[in-house]
Amino acid sequence: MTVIAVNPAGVHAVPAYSHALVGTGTPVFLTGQIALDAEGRLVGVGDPAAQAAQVWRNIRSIVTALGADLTDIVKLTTFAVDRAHLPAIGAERARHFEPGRFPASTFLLVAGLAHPDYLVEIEVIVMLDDSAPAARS
Amino acid sequence: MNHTTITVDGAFRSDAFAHGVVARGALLAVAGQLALNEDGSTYAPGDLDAQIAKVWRQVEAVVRTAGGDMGDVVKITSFVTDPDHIGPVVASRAEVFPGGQAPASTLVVVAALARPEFLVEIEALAVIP
Repeated sequence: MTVIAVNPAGVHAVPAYSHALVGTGTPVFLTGQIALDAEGRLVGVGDPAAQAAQVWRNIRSIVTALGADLTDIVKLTTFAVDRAHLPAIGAERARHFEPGRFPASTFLLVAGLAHPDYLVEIEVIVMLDDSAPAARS
Repeated sequence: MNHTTITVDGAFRSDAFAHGVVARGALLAVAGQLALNEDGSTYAPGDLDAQIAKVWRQVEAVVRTAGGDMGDVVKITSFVTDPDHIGPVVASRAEVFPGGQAPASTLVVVAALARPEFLVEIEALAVIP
């Protein structure tokens, strides 16, 4: 898939995300992922770094199952419940992307997530190459 | 713009938003735009109208740099930190998308944005023909 990062002059450049990504193919909208393992148990109660790591494991599993990889992600939306968790969540995100290849991103602090122990939820938009199996099915 | 705006009966209609938009082309995902100066400092802390205007300028700059124009925007999501901010954001949206060309739209009041000084964040999806 061809994905082009867009970072215009006049808009503050942020190292941790691109202002926009353009991609061709089939867009796939993933459900917001929380830190549940395959058995439905919450990973990392009270630990935003551990929850973020599990969230990214889940995202990677889904994206891989679609026949794509994390470089095909064009947009992230991160929902957190405490501003103090921002560094841990950002550090985990940074582990998964090459510098200069970050997706477009939105970060929000919300009053709560679906369960009081959930500290972070991340949803993504993936562009599937039209040759990817899931795009043809 | 080569989009088809979808409106349905039985739901409130407004020139300020579409019920849905169908488009074909390359998907442009615009990051949530914030009132940031180029040096990364906060632009116009506490000034809602100034932050709204700055954010829209940035959304448009990103869309134009990608080879599109604001008519290619199919969906916007606006986040504000106070219900009192809804009115000014809705008014600005009508100015940015005049004449019934508004995209699908969602507006959310959140507990906070990434910095306490940020009052509004707007993200967009555009489809570039």
